[in-house]
Amino acid sequence: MRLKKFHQFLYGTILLLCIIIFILFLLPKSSFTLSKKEKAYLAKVDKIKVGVDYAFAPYEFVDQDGKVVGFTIDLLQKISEYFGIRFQFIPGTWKDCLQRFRDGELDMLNNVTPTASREKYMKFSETTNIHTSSIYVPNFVQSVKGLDDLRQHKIGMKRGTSLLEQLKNRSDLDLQIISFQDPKEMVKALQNNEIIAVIDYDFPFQYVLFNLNIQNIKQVGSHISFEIGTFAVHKDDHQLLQILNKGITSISSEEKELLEEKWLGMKHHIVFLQVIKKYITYLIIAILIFIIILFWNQYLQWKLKQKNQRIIENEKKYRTLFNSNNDLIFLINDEKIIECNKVVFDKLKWKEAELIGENFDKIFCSSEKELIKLQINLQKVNEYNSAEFKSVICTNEGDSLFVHIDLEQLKLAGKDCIFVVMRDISNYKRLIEELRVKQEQFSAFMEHFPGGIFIKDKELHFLYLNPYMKKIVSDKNWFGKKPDQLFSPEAAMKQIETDKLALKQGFIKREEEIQDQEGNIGFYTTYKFRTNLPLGDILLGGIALDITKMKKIENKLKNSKLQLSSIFAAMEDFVCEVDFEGRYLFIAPTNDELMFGEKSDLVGHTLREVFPKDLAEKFLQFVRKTIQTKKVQSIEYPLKIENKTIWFEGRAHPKTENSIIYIARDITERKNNEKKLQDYREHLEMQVEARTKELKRSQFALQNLMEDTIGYQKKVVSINELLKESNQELEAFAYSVSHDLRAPLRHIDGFSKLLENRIIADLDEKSQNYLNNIHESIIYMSKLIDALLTYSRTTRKTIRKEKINMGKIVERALNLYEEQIKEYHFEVKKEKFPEVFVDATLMTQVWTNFISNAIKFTKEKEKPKIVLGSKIEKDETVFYIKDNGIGFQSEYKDKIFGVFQRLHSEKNYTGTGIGLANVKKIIEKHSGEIWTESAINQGTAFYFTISNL
Amino acid sequence: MGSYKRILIVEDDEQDVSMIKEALADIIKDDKIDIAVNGKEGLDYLLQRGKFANRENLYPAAILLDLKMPKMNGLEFLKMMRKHKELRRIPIIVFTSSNIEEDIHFSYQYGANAYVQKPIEFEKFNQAVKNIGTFWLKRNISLVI
Repeated sequence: MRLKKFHQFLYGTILLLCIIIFILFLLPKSSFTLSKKEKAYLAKVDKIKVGVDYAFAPYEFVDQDGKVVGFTIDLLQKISEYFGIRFQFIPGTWKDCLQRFRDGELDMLNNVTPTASREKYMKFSETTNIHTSSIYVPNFVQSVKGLDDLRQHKIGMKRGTSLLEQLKNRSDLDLQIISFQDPKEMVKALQNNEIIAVIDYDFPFQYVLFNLNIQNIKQVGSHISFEIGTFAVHKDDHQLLQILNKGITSISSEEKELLEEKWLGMKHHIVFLQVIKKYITYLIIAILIFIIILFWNQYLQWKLKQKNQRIIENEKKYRTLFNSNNDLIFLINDEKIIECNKVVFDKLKWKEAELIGENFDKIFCSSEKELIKLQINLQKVNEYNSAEFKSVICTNEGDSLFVHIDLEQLKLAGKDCIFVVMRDISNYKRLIEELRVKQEQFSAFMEHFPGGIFIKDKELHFLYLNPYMKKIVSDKNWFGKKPDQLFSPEAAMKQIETDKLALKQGFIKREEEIQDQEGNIGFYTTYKFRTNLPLGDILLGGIALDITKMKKIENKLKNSKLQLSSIFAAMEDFVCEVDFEGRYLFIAPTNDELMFGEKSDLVGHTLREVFPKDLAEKFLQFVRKTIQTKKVQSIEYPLKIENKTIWFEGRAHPKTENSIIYIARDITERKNNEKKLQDYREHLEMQVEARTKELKRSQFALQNLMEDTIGYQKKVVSINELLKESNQELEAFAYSVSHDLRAPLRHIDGFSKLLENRIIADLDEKSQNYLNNIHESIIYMSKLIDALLTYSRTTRKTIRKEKINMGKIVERALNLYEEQIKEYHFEVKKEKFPEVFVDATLMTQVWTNFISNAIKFTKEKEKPKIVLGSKIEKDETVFYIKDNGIGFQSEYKDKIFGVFQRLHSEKNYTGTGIGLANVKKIIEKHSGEIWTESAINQGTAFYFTISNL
Repeated sequence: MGSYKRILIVEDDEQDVSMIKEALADIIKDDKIDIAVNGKEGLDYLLQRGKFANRENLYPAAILLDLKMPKMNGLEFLKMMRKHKELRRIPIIVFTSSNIEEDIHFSYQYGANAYVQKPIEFEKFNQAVKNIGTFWLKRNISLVI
């Protein structure tokens, strides 16, 4: 296992190293990436058109196959690879290229040397290469060593170059420059001596010479100039410039050197050295890895050795365990026994050859149940890797063994094996069975024991309760609790006390009162005993027997005894028990006075011994009759005791087969009363007879009276109904009056006034009077209607009484007529008034009416006078108002209170004739009376009564 | 509905109507006054039903209401009207012959803005109507000629 892990680790490490080395190779290539803007630029521009000088070899030129190649072309191609730029190379002469670039047909140019004039329309990239230039002459020319030697001579130069520009400006030299389009022609001209020298860029010119295989031309002097070559773009084309610059810096120096070697034939030793350095580094790393692996391997081998040693030891241990174990151990594969320990052969009495290689189920007693169990558990092992079960196996001799079987899945040498351990549990099984029986017996005993059984430890924690006891304790979580956790504090204290005593003395018996959780009190006889266990532990055993019922019976008995004796003590009767022979068996401790002789003379003696013969016989007969009939018998008889004749009433109750209880009561008084009663009854009967006759007569009279009354009652009811109806009618009538009678009046007045307005100019005095009469009539009519309404309302209105001083009401009414009183110089005399219980509003109306009447009929007098007062009588108070007015004939004094009754003409005394009717109604509503006294020119007095408070 | 430069008189008595109109003549133009002869018609008027279905879609500035009317009396009309969300805002002056307590009590309870008893005397009647006209009708609108 460990070895495998190590291999995995090793492979992983090597793989990781390879990846690191690979990354080291790749790393410099992708040092620059393009910005978003630049990418967008490239996406927009399909191709970048590059002007290529067709003859600027080896930098750029068209080769024999017509392909554009060269150093800078390769550079561009590299840039194109990095950034995916697509360049379109358009070859032409240098001059041509420059022109086309200026015309905008081209996007960029290569190998451009920055000059002041170019800067006006170009931008230049980083340097791509360096152009050196020199003087070239035929081999034979010795005189030319430098530029100064060419003064006023014809020289050849390439057309359009910056070099040409530079030299043209050197007026001091005065060179006669002949420019050429094609370097080949320039070479030809030199060979033909048309020109004395050629000044040109070294690499391109040498390339031409080399290609033409010309050896008679040489380079002289030092370099005339060093110019840098760049990529040139349009002045406003920043994006492209940036991309190109990034491209240039992205190209590693190694790559550049390789290109220079390819095109310019420059040897760069540094490149070689660097490569070698790199490879050496890789080699060292590889060696290091190898060494590490080697050491690791050594270490592993050492480890393996140790492990093997341990395995051998383990194997030894296992063998010992395997064979010395008392359990039966099997190793099975595919249900076949591969291996088993010696115990198997010893116990099962099989020989090795008979078991190894055989089916595992051979040892199972071919009982179907056991075999199924085995199969199920084998299945289980497959799923869960382990299983255990109990089963029965058989020995070769046919004995069966109870075993507990453990199955454990094991993978050995790639095979799924099962490790089986069987433990013989036959003995254990038997013991368990015995224990179970004993346990059951014990439980059954405890269960059915008709009392509580408990066991406590010496600290008094409950350890065992039988079901009966559990009911008493009733707390389900009794186990391990102390009495004070289960019972009330008092009960617990008592219990603990006895418990401790029992532990000390060894045995104790007590009667205890135990209150269960529901509060029922039970009485128990408890036996508590110390139990010493073999190991020295001490337990407290206890048995509690319920004696509640017994206790109750005992109490009842005590009570009934007490009751009986108190009953006896309270009794005046004589009570005794007599048997069939007439012998006194028992005499209750009751009234001694009724005893015929001393108590000691009676008990144990017979009736015959106590009473005279005839009386004794009579009593004896009575006793025997009671016993024979088994029914209560009674008897009355007189007895002479201490010279007094006492009447007895005796009652005998059968008690047993042979005795009765006899109770005798003194009824002397009753006997006497009965006699008196009898006499009285006879006297009464005579009297009753006489009275009955009288009663019959008056009953008849009463009946007649009743019939009359009922007749009257019926009449009253029907009158009441009529009254109710008429009240309702009156109400409807009042409402109608208020609306329907008023409207026409209003219209008459309205339209007559409107008419008057229209014709007022043409009206004479008489017509005007007529119209006025109409108007006055209407006013009077409306007053009548209002008065009628007030009256009807008073009739209907329920009065609301309050406690008020009548004087206050009178004052209020007088105030209303203050002006008139002053005007006519009335003498008003207001006497004292009491408190009354009346409807103040209605009472104000009463006084207002009276006062207005008094003023109306008195104001013409010389000394008008009004007296108002009251006179308190027994139940009521009489109120009065008197004036000295015109008065009226006393024969009209009842009429005056009727509706619309007037005694004076409307013309002289205005009024509706309803006021007094209204007053009468109000007084009647207060259950009072009203009357008047008057005489013509003598004045009038009105009286009314109101009941006192 | 917006405010309406008209008033509504709910009154069954033609003569009362002509007297009211006469009294109002100085204050409100005759053709600015609408008449409903009972409570039912009054509701029809307000809800633009029946006879008044084609009425202009505006509420009256105020309502002069009689109580004792056939079909639907003034109290019933008040009760119905005050249940309505918008109608309840119209001022109502109860103008009736009755002066019994119950009528006054219930008129105010059902939401009348004023209760005026119709006086029997012409001069008082005229003055009462003019007062109503000036105070209640004119303050809401400019129905004035």
